[in-house]
Amino acid sequence: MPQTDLSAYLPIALMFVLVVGFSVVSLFLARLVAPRHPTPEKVEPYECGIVPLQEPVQRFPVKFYLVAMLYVIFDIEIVFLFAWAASFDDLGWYGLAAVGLFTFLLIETLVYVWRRGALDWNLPRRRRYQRAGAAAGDAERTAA
Amino acid sequence: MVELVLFIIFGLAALFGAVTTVWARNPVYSALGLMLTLFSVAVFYVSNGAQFVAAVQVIVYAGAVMTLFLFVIMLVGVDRAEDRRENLPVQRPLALGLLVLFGAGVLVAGRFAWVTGAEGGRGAEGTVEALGSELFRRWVLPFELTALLLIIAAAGTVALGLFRRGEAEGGDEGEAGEGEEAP
Amino acid sequence: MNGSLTFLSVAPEIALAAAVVLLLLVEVTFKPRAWAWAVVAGAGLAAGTALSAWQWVAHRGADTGTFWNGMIAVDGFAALAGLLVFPLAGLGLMSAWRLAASQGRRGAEFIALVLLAAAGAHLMAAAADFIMLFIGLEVFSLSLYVLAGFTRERVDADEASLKYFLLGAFASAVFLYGVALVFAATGSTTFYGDGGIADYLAGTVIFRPGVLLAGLALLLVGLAFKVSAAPFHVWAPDVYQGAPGGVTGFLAAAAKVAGFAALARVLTAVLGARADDWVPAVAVLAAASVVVGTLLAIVQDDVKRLLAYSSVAHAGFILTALVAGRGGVGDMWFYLATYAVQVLGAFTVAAAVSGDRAGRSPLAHWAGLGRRAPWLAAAMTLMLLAMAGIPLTAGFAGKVAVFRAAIDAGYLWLVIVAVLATVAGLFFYLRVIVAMYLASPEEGASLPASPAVGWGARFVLAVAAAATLVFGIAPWPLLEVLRDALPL
Repeated sequence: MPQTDLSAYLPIALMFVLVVGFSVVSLFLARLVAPRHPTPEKVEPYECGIVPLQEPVQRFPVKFYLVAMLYVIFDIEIVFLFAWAASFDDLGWYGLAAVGLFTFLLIETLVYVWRRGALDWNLPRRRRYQRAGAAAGDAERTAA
Repeated sequence: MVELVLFIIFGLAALFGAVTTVWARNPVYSALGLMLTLFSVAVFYVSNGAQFVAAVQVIVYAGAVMTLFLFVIMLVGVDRAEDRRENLPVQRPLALGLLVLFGAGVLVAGRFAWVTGAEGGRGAEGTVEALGSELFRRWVLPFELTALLLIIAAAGTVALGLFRRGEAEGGDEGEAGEGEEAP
Repeated sequence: MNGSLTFLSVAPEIALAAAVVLLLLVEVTFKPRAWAWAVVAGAGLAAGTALSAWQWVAHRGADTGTFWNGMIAVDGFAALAGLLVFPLAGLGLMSAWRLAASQGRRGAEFIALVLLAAAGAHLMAAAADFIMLFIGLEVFSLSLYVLAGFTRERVDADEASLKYFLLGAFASAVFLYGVALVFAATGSTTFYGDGGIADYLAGTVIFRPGVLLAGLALLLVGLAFKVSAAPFHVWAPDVYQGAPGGVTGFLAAAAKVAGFAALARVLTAVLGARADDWVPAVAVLAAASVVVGTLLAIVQDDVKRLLAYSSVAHAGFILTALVAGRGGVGDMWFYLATYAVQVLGAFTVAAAVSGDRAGRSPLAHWAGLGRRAPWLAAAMTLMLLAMAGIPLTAGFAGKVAVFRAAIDAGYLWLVIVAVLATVAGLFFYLRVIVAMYLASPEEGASLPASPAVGWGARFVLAVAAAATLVFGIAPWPLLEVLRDALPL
């Protein structure tokens, strides 16, 4: 069992205690001090002063999800580069080659995703793909 | 001593977070519970000398992945109550019983003891430098192969997310599923 | 460690990764027609097969050599897995070609995912370290999760994909937990060499093996899920039925090959010293699989679902070979190779009959197939007879081989259970055959249009039929050759 010197983490622990303490105290104080006179109008969601008529529509465009997903994928892979950077002197050219291959695959994937139109927010290119796809599908069916 | 105190505090916190994740009715609380668990486990990593893993845990999991989780929860809708009824009411007790049975079976097979003969693992020091050397020398092949996982994830995301349902059928050119966001 | 051999040890993976990279870049740059995809994929798979064949010639029957600091094993076992998996991926692509080509530009992703799944399957067989095995498992599984829901047309395909993903992720987590416990017990994740797990277990008497046994059990659970052995089979029927018809064949065949390759190496080579602990567990899994698979297959009315339960039973038959430990690995390969081809052929026919994007394939679709499409019906009949284990088919030879291995190991009760299940299994295989030849389509029933079979599917069926007959009539040469494919 390697005994790690944890004293270096004391500031973080203090910070942690401070943050938790502050939030608990301020929530508690707000309960205690703030006046509370709820009326039905006050409880409504605030929409620029207009009375909301219906629940917000629940269908969100899928492109948010796509971009978030791609972000997480690339973000996770980048973590490895920290380790390389920290032991750069030790690894030398060999490390550069190893990371180079990895980065090549990373960039290749980025190029693919980019050219595929997955990063286009406003869709003209994406729609073109879909049209091409549909045309190819039609051709296939007529051939069959 | 310090380590023991830390272990008890954050072990309890990790358990509490895990239970919250499973039991909370509001999915946002579930996500917060999971975040508490991730942080507590990161503390264990630090106290075992695996600083880099702890940092990655906080940055990637508690940061990026949890953001994505919250994002999905918000998209699906927080206020949607989850249907907790189950098709097989015996499922939960059965699962618990089987778990106990499994543990008992292992205990019997291990002659009523968990302890083994092997010394601890031969892991390196968990600092970033040590981990870098280890990762790029001994574990270089698995490291490169994770790039294949990246390609799969990207291709899969594009294949399932970029092209809409029924896209190969053609037609459906309109904005039916697209719903431009309101200003 | 000699340099050139180091890279040659992972050459099949390099070839496939290069093919995938090329495929994706060419696709987004030139937007080629579908034949260009076929050329790239075919070149990658052919290169992978050729490199595996080279490894086979150079290393068959020899001791396992490890490369990349004990990460990758090069031996007859890994080479044979490559010789099986890469052609199987090629056949799977041919079988699914019409599906891939009908998906517009997404066809490129489809093909890339099949290639990556093949690379992952070979990695699982060639891994010489639990970390490598886990990465191979993830490469393989993640590709299949996406493929299972690829068409995104039907809700049940989405359901199949999601179910496969959630349960598969859970199984991977269980597997990883098992790896962690085995690491805790033995102090290593590497299989071979000084200080490897096999070395440690062979040289050490562990007085209190609780952690090791718990790890072993969890490893067994994780891998039994991948090969759909009962009681970890519950995902298989829904996934096989929901996935698009063209995908199911490759999914079923590749999952069996990859899962059993990993299982055989981990059990016989790595944990061989603890055989007394895992052999009874494997025997129970085998018996449970043949019984559950057979009994549930009898009550199915959907051919794809029926084939799914039959694949659970076949997982049991293959596990029967593993109770013999290392002596049964050759028989396992024989059964695995012939069954993989049969199941691919059977699902290819199902895709032709019910449509290659369709999920369900109710028995009503098959009524009178013998008159509507005599060749398809003949091919399906041959596949079903082989799966049932009728003499002169490869299925019979395989069953004899695995039963003999189990009897030699002293597991007579398991063989009796398996033989009884084989007899009961005849019932549901014959049920499909009867429907094809003796039943006539119901009046006014809406059958799918006349079964459309592409050239790729025809080729697949020809290969499957030829392999089933040749290895059924003369199984000895292959069985003899497979004795060299052991993980040492």
